[in-house]
Amino acid sequence: MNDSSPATPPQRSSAPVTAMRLMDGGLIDRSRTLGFTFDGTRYTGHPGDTLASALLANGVRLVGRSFKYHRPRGILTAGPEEPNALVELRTGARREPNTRATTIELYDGLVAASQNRWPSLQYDLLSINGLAGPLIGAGFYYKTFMWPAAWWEKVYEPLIRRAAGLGRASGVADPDHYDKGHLHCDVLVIGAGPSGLMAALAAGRAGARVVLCEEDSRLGGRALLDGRRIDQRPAADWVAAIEAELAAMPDVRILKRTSVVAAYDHGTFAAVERNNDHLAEPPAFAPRQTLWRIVAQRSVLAAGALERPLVFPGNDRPGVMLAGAARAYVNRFAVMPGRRAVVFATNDDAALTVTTLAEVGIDVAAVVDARSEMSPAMEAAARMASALLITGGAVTRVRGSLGVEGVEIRSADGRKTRIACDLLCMSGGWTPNLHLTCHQNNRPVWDARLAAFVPGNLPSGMAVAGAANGEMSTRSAIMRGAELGVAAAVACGFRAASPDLPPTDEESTSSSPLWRVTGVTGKAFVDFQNDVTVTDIGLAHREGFRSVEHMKRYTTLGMATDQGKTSSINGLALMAELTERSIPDTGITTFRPPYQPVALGTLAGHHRGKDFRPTRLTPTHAWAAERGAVFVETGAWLRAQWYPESGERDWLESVNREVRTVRNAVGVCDVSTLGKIDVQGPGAAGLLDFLYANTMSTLPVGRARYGLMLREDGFVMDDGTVSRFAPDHFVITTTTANAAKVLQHMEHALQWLRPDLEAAVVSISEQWAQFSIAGPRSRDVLQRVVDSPEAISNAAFPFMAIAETTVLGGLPARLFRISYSGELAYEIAVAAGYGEALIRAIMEQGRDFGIAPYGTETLGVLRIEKGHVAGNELSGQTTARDLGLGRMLAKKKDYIGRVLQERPALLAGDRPALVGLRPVDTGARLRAGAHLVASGQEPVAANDLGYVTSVAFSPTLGHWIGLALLSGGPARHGERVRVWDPVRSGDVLAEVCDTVFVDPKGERLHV
Amino acid sequence: MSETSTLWRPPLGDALKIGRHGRRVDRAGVTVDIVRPARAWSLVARRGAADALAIAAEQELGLPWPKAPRYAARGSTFVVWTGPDRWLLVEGPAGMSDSVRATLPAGVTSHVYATDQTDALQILHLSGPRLRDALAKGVTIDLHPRSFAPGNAAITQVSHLTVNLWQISDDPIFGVAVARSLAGSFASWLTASAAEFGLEVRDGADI
Repeated sequence: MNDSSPATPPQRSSAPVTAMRLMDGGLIDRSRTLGFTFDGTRYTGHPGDTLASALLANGVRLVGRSFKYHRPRGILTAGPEEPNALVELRTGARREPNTRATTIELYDGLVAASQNRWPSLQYDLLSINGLAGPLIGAGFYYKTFMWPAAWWEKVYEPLIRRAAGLGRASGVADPDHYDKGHLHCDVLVIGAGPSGLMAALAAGRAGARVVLCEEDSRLGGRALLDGRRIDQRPAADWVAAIEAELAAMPDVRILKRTSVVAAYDHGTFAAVERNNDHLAEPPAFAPRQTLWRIVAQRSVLAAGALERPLVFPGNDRPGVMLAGAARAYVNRFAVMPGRRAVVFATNDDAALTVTTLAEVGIDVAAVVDARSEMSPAMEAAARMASALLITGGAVTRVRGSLGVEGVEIRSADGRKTRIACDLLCMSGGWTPNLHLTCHQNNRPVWDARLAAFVPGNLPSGMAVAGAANGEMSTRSAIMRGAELGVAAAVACGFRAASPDLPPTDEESTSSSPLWRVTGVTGKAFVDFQNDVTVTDIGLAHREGFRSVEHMKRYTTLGMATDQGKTSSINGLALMAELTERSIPDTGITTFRPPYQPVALGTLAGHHRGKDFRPTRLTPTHAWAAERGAVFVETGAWLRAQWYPESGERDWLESVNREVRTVRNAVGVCDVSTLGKIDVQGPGAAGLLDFLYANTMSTLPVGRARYGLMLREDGFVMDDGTVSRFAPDHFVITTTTANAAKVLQHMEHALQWLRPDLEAAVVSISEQWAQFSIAGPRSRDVLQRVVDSPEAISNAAFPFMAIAETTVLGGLPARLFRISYSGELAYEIAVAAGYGEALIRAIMEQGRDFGIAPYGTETLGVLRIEKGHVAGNELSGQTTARDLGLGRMLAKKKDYIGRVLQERPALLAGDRPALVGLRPVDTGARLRAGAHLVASGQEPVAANDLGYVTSVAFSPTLGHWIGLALLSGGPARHGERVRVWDPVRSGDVLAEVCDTVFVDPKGERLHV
Repeated sequence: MSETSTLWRPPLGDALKIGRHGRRVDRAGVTVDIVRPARAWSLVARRGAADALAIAAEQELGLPWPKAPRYAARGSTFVVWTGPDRWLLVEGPAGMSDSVRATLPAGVTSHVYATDQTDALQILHLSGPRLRDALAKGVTIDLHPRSFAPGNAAITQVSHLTVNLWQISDDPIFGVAVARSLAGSFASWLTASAAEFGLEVRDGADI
């Protein structure tokens, strides 16, 4: 039936009739018409269409240009393996390149454009590349654009990419939301064709938790496409009945539009669900796609098989289509892929295409069977279709450029016949879709009878059913699916029985391979997407790229979006022929995830922008933001870096003010990010003695002490303070960066090294908001905040005193007279929920004393001025002696790191040790990271004496200062060194000095 | 401590506003109740005292004391297993005491090292017909009723965050505790993940 002989009038007059659409049949909704545009031309289709089927229904055969030669290309397949029909879908920020027209579900208003052509699809100037084919075969770019090497990135690559490209990315941020999700099940069934449906049904009826994933928008697989009958009714009806039963099972989850793209260890799979790709844009708040992590005890792979093209000249012309795809367009989409067809095949499966085409009125002009012996199935089909049957023949040429106009057929006796046609259906047989069986380094095995690779060793818990396992008939697929569904459920502990097996049509699956048509000239394509021809494989062979992995990389066969789904077997078979090896000896390239292309947005999911990783906020974050603080990421924390005031031009001006305020008046800083650990129990003091290099058991209650922790290898791990609130209750602090590591270290010590000690270590970092109040007026401020001002007089509460007290009228607080800045200073802690209230109170009470908040930059300047070490110096490569802290090392006790820090190399006198640096020219700037060489020496590695760890501009001294690790260390005090910074072109002479720049005697701490 | 309690700020700050979020639906698919505990403690059993603690806790708090990753509640007080010989004990809003320095019953205290964590955590109660679907977007463990029943608890990851998670009832209602500093990031994930089902945020005091 075609548009020139309308046997029956259209049933619904509202639906426009498109040229190649059948009047009835198909799984499309003719009651609704959808408008879409392709390359600016308006067309219509129906719900149920793909972009490919709708284009074919409108008589559009030319949909793209090939990657390298810009050859006209059409639609080869009806599924996700499509190598040719790649389009740019949507516009603007949602534009998505390289989308397969065969998988795009049609929606109203869809906009798609062809790719890789200029100025238009019909007249593509770069198709001249096709004439240059002999010149630009495989490896052409690598050989030609070698010199000059510097031009590769700047000139050649951009040019080549422009000429030989796929689609264009939108270039703007993706407006849609992507999700990730985690699913757990007893049985994962991959693929919902007849075998997958039976597996899911068997396992589901047994009560197992089943996840059934189907790439397509409908369940059924080839049952929907082949037009066969199952259970004495149309296969689609049988599928619908099973789907209804599965959908009613509470523990069966059906995921349509979901590709399982990877199989990992222990039954873990990755799957991409295209939740809303079938709509113009996702509904509000709904994800565009979801990346599922599926954990299954057992899996049944029922991924079907992919049809192989035949390799002959002109096999890439629009109108050359896989035989299975041609009947799929008829059966599922009610589309005629052509009006006059030739079928060229090596197998009996194509007989179904012959009869299907004939049944809907397509003139099948000839059936060319490459096999030398007459096939009864093909003969019957040809007779039914009144088609010429040519046994032992081959298609040797295709006429037509923008679309098939005819073919040249060579008979067994060598005679050539020309037949006019607009559709050439080809089938080289079917390749089991075993990709997922190989993701854990399993290799498939060659089955000579099937002339196909079939699954070899399988990932644990996986079984393979149906065509994916080489069981090509519907009947065998159904039987095997049911059997494996039962087995999977039983393996998960369920009692299961096989569902009744529905009767199916008789079918012959006889097949014999033909890897290429010989004795012909012209471009015969093996890989359509990458424009790899038979000649290119010959070239790879001649140039020694004979391993399939080398051939793949040299020719690009099997790369890009389809990853060789239609090409890899033909390619390796041709290499086998050239090397005179068997196909199994030639081998197959490695299958790696993902099975289908996955958008980067899907892998990112929610983790975009500030959600890339979690952000930790301090108790005063809202307050600091309100004050206009500039924040800095320190690990996961967001901390106030400085607090600009109006009129300040840059960070340095703000920081200098903050430093001067602390040195001359008083400042307040949120130090809640420091790790805080509660240590309780009779073994607490013993544990701390074992953890710290200095002694803690002698610390009196009510006092704090600076502590140094070493790693087992003798290097410094962390530093902090230890405060004793009761004989068996300590609170320690760690650096912000090491909070989690120190807690882990303590647990390790407690559980494995010193199980004799009874102590509990609990993180209290989140519980307490803690602020440093520093500067000569800090006590004045604090006395207005605490409930008992007299208790913190200098006499009552001396340097390194600690106490539990109350503030703001009864709020419990912990007070520590400790100083990082070198000034009279305190740290005060309250429950985190009261942190904001406390800092507001401190600021309010401190106003009379000129208080200002300060951030991490000022914190850094203050500690560098005092020569205190921080993360830059606690690099994991420094010992206590390197840092000038050797006197802290206890002599009379054991502790972690005690033995190994005595290694001779760590005691060597020329080890880099901490010194201070001041520029000889006080106007010069020092840079952290700069290297040190002796004055007058060449700045080369052989002369390297160390490097600058920390620098700051000291507003107290009026010039830059630095801390450095210098070979020989303090013994060099007074010497001059060259501070050489090749990165920022710095070359400054500096004097080596003591590390303490401000108040070297520490008198300010005790006032 | 009524005069200072008005100064207290919840961990979530403004990160999760009371009201409806995401898709407008009659009944929100996911409901969040912001729990404001009166007190919360980390408890670590003293050496060899775990059995005695269980007996004392059952007597004095009326809680069946968990010795595995489980949760138990009595009234508004509940306990969550957080590790071998470790628990999180929470005294809920109904038990709100005026004493900030609230103490545990002596019979319990003598068997544990207790550390105040009242302000360290944001505790949320999550419910709603689409809750498991929303949780599946971040929780890697299996929350199917066959695997994770009321009374089960876990220390797990949600969207790169470590949380304590427990199931309160099979409605389902789940409890989750997330570190104070990370509450905002958790809220960002939850808001995004529940948006398609409709999200309702309620003040836990209104439960």
